[in-house]
Amino acid sequence: MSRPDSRTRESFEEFVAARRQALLRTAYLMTGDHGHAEDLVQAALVKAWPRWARIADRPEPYVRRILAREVTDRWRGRRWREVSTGTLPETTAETRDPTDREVLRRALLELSPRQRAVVVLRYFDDLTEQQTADVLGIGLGTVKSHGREAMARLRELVPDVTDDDVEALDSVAP
Amino acid sequence: MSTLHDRLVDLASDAPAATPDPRLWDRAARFHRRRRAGTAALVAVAVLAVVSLVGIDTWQRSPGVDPAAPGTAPALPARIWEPSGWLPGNDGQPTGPLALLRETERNGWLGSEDGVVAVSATTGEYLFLDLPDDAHRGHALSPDGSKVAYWITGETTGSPQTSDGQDLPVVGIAVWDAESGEVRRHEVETEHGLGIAADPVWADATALVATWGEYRVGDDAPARFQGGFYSGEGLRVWDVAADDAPRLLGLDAEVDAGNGSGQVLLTVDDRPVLDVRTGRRSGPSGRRTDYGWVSALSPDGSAIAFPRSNPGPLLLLRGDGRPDVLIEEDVEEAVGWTDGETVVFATSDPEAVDRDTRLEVVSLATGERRVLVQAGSFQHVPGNLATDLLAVEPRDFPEPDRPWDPRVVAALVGFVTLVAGAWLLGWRRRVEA
Repeated sequence: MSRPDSRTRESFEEFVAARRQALLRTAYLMTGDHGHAEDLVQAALVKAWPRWARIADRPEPYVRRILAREVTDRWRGRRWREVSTGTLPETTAETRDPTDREVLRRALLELSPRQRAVVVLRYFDDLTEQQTADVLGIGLGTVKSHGREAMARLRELVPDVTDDDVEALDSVAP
Repeated sequence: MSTLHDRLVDLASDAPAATPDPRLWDRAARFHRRRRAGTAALVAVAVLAVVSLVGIDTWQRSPGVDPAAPGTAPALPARIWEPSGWLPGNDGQPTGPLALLRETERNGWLGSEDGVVAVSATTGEYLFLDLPDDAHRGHALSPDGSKVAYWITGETTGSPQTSDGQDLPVVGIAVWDAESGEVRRHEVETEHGLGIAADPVWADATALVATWGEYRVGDDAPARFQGGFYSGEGLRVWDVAADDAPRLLGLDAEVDAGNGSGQVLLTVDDRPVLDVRTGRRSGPSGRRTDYGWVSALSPDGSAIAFPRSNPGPLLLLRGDGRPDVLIEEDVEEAVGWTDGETVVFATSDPEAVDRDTRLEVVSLATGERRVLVQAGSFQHVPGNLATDLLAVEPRDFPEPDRPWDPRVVAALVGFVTLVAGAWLLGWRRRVEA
């Protein structure tokens, strides 16, 4: 492994400055916790560091793949205790009742980390099933079954999540 | 109603705000340096462990005894140890003069097979003998320890006979020279293989006495024809120092023991001593030969030492008279003579749980006894001891190696590698970014 040069460092720091917030959003949806989300994003960036020179042209897919896999790896290693906080997080959005957000956040936490990752990648990052499978490093069939089970659970926990959500996304899937 | 995507986007707006982190690059560099160092250290420890295990195993398998200085006189070991089944083989290389042979199981990765361990008379080293085409049907060490006679296996002209307790058909006899590593072979053209009734016996350092017969049928014959072999043509003597083939002696008998001076003791009642070079018979008439393989013929062929029963008092027979009692205690066998006036015999404590044989000498003149060799579980039979060396003071050789079972070594190496690999994976996963 060659030592990254100053241009590589520049590229890394530019990416972090530009995309860290987007990564934090995905990480937050996957973990439901501010601290864990920050920790996860930092871990993904640090782990991507040795290969930065090679991925500098298009680093985001690689970083997101690390991030998604880190969630399930950490869950397997029981390094995170998933907790539902009693207090609502600070909010800046004005368009939705904060209680609705908390319901969805708690509902996501009821899913397994892998199911949650599938939901976030499919319905937030708008990846296809195949792209989701590639990012998580699992089979297409597994993505489909996790997606089905996750949506069934979400429909139970969040009454106004409907089949339309699934159909709307499936209609754009290749 | 908004879609799940909209709701997720909305929830994502609760994500923590990204704050500048100018030290992230340096932290990442430090993290990877630490991970690389940890990985290298663990791999180094694992490699060291594996190399140590393999090294110890190789070291144990390599010749563990320094070569004897030129001119070192051969001698019997003062103590005979139980050989390990994992001892190395000589790989056809000469060993120098041998003190004794022990037939024992030779272990391998997939099981064990017949083997013969030789003990060097100059270094005390224990080695399995890798003898070419060894049929493992008996071995005989010459009295001076310089040659090993053995039956050889090979191709028969017809279907071989392997049902009589032998896996490999015998097609001849060979003599391996421990000094040069050369093999002298006498092969017999045989349709079904040779039947062996007794081990060959050395009359002296070059005259080998052997007998064999030919099987009548091979494995493909009907069951009613199976069993037995032609009795052959009797005893043959092979002078391995000459170019001749084994020569028939015109005598159909079994051989008890040789005296190292060209004579053998036959299991016949009348004149049992045979000079194999001249064919002359001598010795007492009417001797009962109930205890074959436990008698010792004096160097001049005039006296026979043997236990009355097995075990029993040690007797000495000279001429045609009644035998004299040499040792009244129970003796297991007469092993040989150191000279015309001293007999070596084997005895052991019958009460001992583990067999602990002693080879003792007794003077005919004074009756004085002393222990010559602590032989442990070794049991003397004609041809497994260099009997000329009974006359030399035994030497204290180092205890032979007991190599580890290589399967255990391989399992340990695998285990260390597996544990190191699992620990490494776990550590790399656990280490915080």
